[in-house]
Amino acid sequence: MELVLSLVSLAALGGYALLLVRRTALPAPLAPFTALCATMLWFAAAGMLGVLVPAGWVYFVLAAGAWVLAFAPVGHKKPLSALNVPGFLAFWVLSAALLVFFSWRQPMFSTWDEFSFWGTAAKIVKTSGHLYVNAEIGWDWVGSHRPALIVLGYFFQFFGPYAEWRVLAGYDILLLALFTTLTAAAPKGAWRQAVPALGFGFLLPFLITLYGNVTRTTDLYASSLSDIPLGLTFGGAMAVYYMDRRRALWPTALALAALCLEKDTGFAMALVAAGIIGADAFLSALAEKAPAPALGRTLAKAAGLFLTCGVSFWSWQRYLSVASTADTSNVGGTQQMGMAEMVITGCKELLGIGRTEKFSTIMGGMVKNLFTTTTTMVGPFFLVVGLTLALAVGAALFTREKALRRQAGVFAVLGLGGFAAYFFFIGLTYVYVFRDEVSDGLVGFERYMYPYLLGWLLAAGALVLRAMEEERPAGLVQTGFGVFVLGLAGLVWLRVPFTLTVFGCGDAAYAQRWQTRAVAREVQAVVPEDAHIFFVSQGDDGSRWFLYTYELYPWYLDYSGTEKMGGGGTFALPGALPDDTLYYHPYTTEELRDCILDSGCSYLFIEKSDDLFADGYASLFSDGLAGCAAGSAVYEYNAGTGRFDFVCNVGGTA
Amino acid sequence: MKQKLKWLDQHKMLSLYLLALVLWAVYALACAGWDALGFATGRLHTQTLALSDLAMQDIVQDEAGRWVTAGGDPQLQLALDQPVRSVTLATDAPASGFEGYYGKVGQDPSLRRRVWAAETAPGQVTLVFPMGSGSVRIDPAGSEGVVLGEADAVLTVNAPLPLWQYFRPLGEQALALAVLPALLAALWDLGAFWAARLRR
Repeated sequence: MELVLSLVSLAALGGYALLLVRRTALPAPLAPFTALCATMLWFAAAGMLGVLVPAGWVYFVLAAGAWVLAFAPVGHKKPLSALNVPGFLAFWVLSAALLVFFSWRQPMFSTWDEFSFWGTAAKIVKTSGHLYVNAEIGWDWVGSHRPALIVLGYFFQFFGPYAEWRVLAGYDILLLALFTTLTAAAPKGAWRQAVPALGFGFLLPFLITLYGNVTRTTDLYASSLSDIPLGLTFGGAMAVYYMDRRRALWPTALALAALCLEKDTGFAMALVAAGIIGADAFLSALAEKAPAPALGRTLAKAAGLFLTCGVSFWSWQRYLSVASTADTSNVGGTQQMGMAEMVITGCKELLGIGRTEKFSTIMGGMVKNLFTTTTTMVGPFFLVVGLTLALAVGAALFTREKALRRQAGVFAVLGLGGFAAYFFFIGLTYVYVFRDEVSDGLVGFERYMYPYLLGWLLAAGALVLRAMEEERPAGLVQTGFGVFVLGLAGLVWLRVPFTLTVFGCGDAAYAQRWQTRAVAREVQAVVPEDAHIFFVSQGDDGSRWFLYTYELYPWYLDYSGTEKMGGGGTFALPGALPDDTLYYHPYTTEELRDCILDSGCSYLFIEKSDDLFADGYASLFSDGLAGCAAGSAVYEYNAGTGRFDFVCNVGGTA
Repeated sequence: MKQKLKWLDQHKMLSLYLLALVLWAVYALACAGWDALGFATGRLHTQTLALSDLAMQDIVQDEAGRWVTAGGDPQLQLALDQPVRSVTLATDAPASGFEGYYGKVGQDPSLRRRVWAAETAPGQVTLVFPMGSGSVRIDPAGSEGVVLGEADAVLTVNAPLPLWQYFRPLGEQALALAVLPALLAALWDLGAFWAARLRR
């Protein structure tokens, strides 16, 4: 049933895409991505206005209208043959196939950040019918992350129950829509162009994101993290412009608006894309000797791209300032700087004014990483930059189209400048935002750089594919690009065994998640939904606590500790462990009892007990913790005796 | 005939996926037939093996005599005098923990020659291997402390498979089925493009 209901969402998207193709000049392969961007914006705006569910109903009713209007025999519309292009057809077949496959495979979230935000937020939105900013979560919930990808997951499960695979399928359908934009130059039946185009897009995340120990192989195409969609949307915003000979800017504006609402860094990337496209549009108008009014209109449209980015970015800031108590004026971190202050200070240090040793060390480390560390399957980042530039140069060399040569030049020069600016910006976050233990080792450096490179490479691919329209000599670019993609596929095939991907993995990849889910269901069965639950899992580094917070939601798993020392960890009497033990709660028996009761918890979920816990706190339990001998257990506070009574074991016995 | 060829040329992708399905069905039936012939001629036979007769690693008997995983990389190794097409084990251990590696005799295990187990009945785990699997290794769990069976636990090799199992692609066969027709369609189209261009 979940599958059918997800297919309904896909069909609704199809209505809008069909309408765009038949009633506007938009090439068919650009329609799914454009429609998806509009969908994300619609649901994000509805969420900010507090009308997510009604807006969803309106969306689906209008989608039915879009189907009718796409085929209604009134007004001017493009012929049905406009739909019969390889990329457009492939998108719907692949999306439906993906939904079928995921409904069977049931991929699940698996990484820390998915439980600490992305997955939990998706569950909150579906469960509550509202955005997640002020959700009641057991920790200091950072609900200020942007909503576009979260509501994308919501859209694909608007009807029916919440399921992780539906969120993940939504992400992948966005990626498929992005890859489809690359096929816009392929005419009917030209699979020699469409297959390499789709293959190139599909292989990019493998090539770029797998080598930095950031992405688990099985999580590629089965992750709710934002990095890959963010990067590819950045590229997609440029690709929809390059792949449309009419150089219409409104699909790009939609894409940029969506990009700004995917993640904070999306704004910086959107500005880069707006700059590249705006400059290109203006230079094109100049080169084509457009009259002054037309030149003015082009300038206004280019300015409109920046305005779109600004409005989109600001809308979320504004929403937060009204709806959330979170401070949105600074970027947080060690220096507590505002965004502008951080950039100004960074520029000063770059120019040598008041340069600190930390600045020099971090920036030097990043530059070194750029050239020496094998961070992608292709090699160090500078090789990816080189590959991108080579693709742009190739497109310029092998096309007869003068305009495309100019576009490739602007793309290469401004894209390189944008890369330098983005690189510098990421450096500033290491200098001024991250804690020393993160910035010293440049932890996550690859992850922050991937999005730009992914998007830039995708857009470079778009230029090459555009060059196929008027290549010189005919057939050379088509054949060369096909061989190039075949080579990339071979590289990926050699380096990544199929059984390690979500498409070929076994149940073992998600066995532990199913196990914890079963345990959570058992806990929910014996604890009232309005009760607060205190969590004990001895030796936990926080991951079990995050995981169970997610699994139990909307049941409330308490912070389970005090003064930023909760969220998992080890409870033991003072002195039982060295003070510097990770997440050690040195509570006396009375302190633990007070901690539990003061936080309003009437239930305890002891996922894992140990001798330290039993030695310190057995007297708080009416059975002396005998229930934990058989495995995980739930206890309930008995106000009469002042102790916790055993309720049941959960998750089988040890 | 000319019209049929023209239709095929205009629907390269659809034609090739349909052809792939047909070829897959033929291959599956051929495998089923080859196995049936193997059972009839004695090349294959159903064999019951006690766990105690197998070479194993990180699997021990506990005090009660039960077979329990005892390390991070438990393995059961099968080197038999017949090809291995399936292995079935009666166990309460989760099927999701089982994986099988196959290859020719003497070949090292590889992530590229790996199959997953399925729970074919309550308390019964089955691994199906592709044709030509002379040597098989089964990893029954990824951790220690998993009870595989009682002291007299046995596994059954080459129990006849239901026909539908032959139609289920294993490992990289699924990848080939999904990708190769698209790749061939692109090559076909490219070939036709160059043929037309050279004719001009």
